Amino acid sequence: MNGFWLPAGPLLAAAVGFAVLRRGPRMAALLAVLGALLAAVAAVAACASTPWWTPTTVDLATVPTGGPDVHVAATLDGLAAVVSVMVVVVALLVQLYSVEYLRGDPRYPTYAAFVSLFTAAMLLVVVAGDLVVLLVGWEVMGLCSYVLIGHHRELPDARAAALKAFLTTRLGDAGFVVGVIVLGWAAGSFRIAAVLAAVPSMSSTTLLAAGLLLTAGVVGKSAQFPLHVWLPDAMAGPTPVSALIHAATMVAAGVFVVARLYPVFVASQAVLAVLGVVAAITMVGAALAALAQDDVKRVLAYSTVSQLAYMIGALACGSRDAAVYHLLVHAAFKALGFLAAGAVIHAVGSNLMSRMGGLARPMPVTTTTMTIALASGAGVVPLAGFFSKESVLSAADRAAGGDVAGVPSWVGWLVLVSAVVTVAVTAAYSARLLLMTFAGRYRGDGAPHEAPALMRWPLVVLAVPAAALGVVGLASGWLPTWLGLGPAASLGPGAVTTTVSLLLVLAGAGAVWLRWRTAPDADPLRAALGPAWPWCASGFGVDAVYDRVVVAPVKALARGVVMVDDDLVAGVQGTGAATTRAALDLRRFQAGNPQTYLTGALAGVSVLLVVAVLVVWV
Amino acid sequence: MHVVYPAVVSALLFGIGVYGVLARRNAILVLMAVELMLNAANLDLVAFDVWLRDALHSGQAMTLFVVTLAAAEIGLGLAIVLLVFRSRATIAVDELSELGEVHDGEAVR
Repeated sequence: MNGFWLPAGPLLAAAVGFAVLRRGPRMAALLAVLGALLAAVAAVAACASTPWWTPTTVDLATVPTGGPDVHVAATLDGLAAVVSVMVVVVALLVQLYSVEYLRGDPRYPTYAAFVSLFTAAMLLVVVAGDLVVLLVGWEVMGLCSYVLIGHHRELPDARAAALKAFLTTRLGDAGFVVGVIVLGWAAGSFRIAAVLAAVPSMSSTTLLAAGLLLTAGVVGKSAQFPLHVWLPDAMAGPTPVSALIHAATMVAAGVFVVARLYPVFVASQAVLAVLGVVAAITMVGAALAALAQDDVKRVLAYSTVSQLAYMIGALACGSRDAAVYHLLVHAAFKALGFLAAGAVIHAVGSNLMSRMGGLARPMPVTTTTMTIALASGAGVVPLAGFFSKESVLSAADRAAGGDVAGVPSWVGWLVLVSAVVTVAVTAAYSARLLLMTFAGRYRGDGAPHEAPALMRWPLVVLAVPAAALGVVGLASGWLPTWLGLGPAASLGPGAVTTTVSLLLVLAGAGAVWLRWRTAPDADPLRAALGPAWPWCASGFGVDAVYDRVVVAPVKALARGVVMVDDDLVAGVQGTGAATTRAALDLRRFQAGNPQTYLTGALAGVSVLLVVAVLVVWV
Repeated sequence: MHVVYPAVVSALLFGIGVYGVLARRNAILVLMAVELMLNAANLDLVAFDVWLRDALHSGQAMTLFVVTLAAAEIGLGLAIVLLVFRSRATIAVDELSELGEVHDGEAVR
C-alpha cells in the first residue's frame, strides 16, 4: 500500500478547510472529522494490507539536488503502522472533542484546519521514507504547534508561549537539519533505508556527530532537558491541542525519529550516554516540578515531559521496543488525561486545582476516566501504564546488568535509579491531582456539570486502550512482532522491578493521601515540600536562568543592533549633508581667476615632482 | 659653445614667463609672458638640435611649427583681449571673474 495515503486525508481536509474558512463551523467540523476518518481508514488498511515484517517503500519522484538526490518516498512497516494508528485515533477523538470544546469560538474553522494539517504532518513523519520528507513533516509540525498554541492570540500569555515553543524547538531543529545533512552525505543518499544500511560503514566520528545533532532536534521536539521549557507554557493553547501535542504529534515525533533511525544512535556509546543523562535529569526534575503546580494542565504537562524521558531512557538503554510501547500507551493515557482535564476546565471555568474539588459527584464519567488515565500513568497494576513502564524499567535493568551490547552499564544504572525514583514521584503527583480535583469539597463558584456527549464519548473510547493495552498487548506478544524483532524480545515485567515499583507507587500515593486526609481543602504537598516548594513550582528556575543567560543578552543585542542601525542610517544621511557642506566650502576656490587656478596647478605639479624625485632617488 | 648656456637662458626665460602668466594683471602682458615661455621652448629645441647633431633637424622643424602656432595664438589672443576691453572697459585678468562660483549672491574674491 502507498504510505502517502495516510497523510493525504488530513492534508486534503486542511487544504479544503483553509479554502472554505468563511463557510462556518459546521462545514469546518465536518471536513476535519472527515479528514481524520479518512486517515483512520488508511491506517487500518495499512495495518491490514502490509506484511509488516517486510517494509514496503513507495518512491513517487526523485528530486535531483546536485548532491544526494531527494526521493519523495514513503515507507510502511510495523513501526509506522502502529504509530500511525495511535496518531489517527488520538487525532480523530481530538477533532470530535474540539467540535464541542470550541463551540462558539469564532476562529474554530482555522483551528480545525490547522489540527488537520498538524495530523497530516505527523503522519508524514511517520511514513517518511526519506530524511528530507521527514524533515518537511517535522517543520510543518513546528509551524502548526506555533499557530495552535497561540490560538487565543488576544492573550499575551498565549502569544508568548507560542513564540517560546517555536523558538525553543527551532533551536533543536537547527541541529537536526545539520544532522540530516551529515547522514545524507555520509550515506550518499537521503533514503532512510539506504542511510540505515550504510551505518556500519560510516566512521565513528560521523556517527557521533550525526547522533548528537539529531539528539538536539529530538530534545527540542520531545521537550527534554534543557529544551523542555516550552511544553509547560504551551498549556496556553486550547486543551484538545494540548492533548494532540502531548500524545499523538509533536513530542511523539522526537521519540519516533529516534526509533526510526535507531541504528544511528546505537552505533555510538557517547550518544546513548547523552540520551541517558538527559532522560535521567528530565524524568526526575519534571516529575518533581509536577508536584507543585496548581494549574491542572501544567501538572499534566510536566508529567508528559517526565514520561517522554522514560521513552528516551528506554532508547538510551538499547530497547527501542520498550520506548515505542511506552509511546503508544502514553499516547492513550495522556490524551485521555488532557481531554478529561479539558472537561473539568470546561465545567469549572478555571485551570486551577485550588478552585476545584469535589467534582466526583457531578462528573462521574470524567472522574472515572481521569482516574484510569492517572492510575495508568502512575503504573497501577493491571493498567496499561504499568506494563509499559515495567518494560522500560526492565530494559534499564538489563542495561545496568551489562547485558545489552553497546550500552554502557552506568547509563543503565542511571536510567534505572532515576526511573524508580520517578515512579514514586509520579504516583504522588497523580494522587494529588485526583484528590484536589475530584475529592473533598467544591471550592469554586457555579455549578459544575458533566461534559456534553461529544466530549464524554472520546473519554470513554480512550479509556479502553489506556486501561487494556498492556494486558492485551503483551498477552499475545504481537507488539514485539510488529516492531520487527520477533517474539524473542521481551517486553514483560521483571520480578524485582515490579515489586519495587509497586511498593513505591503505594508509598507515593499513600503519603499524599495521608497528608490530604488531615486537611482536605488545602494543597496536600505545600507544607510537606517546605522550602523546596517554590523551586518545584517554578520548574527549578530553569526559566529564570534562561531569562538571564539567553533572553536578556539577546534583547541587549537587539537593542544594540537597533542603535547601530539608527546611527548608521543617520550617519549615511549625515554623509550627504557633509558632502553638501564640503561642496559649498570647496566652491570658494572656484573664484573665476584663472591665475589662481594656474598657481594651484603649478604648486601641485611641483609637489608631485618633489615626491617623484624623492621616491626614485632616495 | 656648451649646451648648458642656452639651456640656462631658456630656463630663465621660461621662469620669467611663468611669473608673468601667474602674476601680471594686464591680459596683454600675460599673453607676452606666454610668448616668452614658448620661445624658451624654441631656444631649447634649436640648442639641443645642434648639440645632438640631428641629421633630420627635427628640432628646427619643430621650432618653425611653434613660431607659426605662436603667431596664430597671439593674433587670436589679442583679438579676444580687444573684445574684452570693448565690452568691459578693462583688461585686468583678476576682474574678469564672471564665470567663477558665486557665493552668497556676490562674486568670491
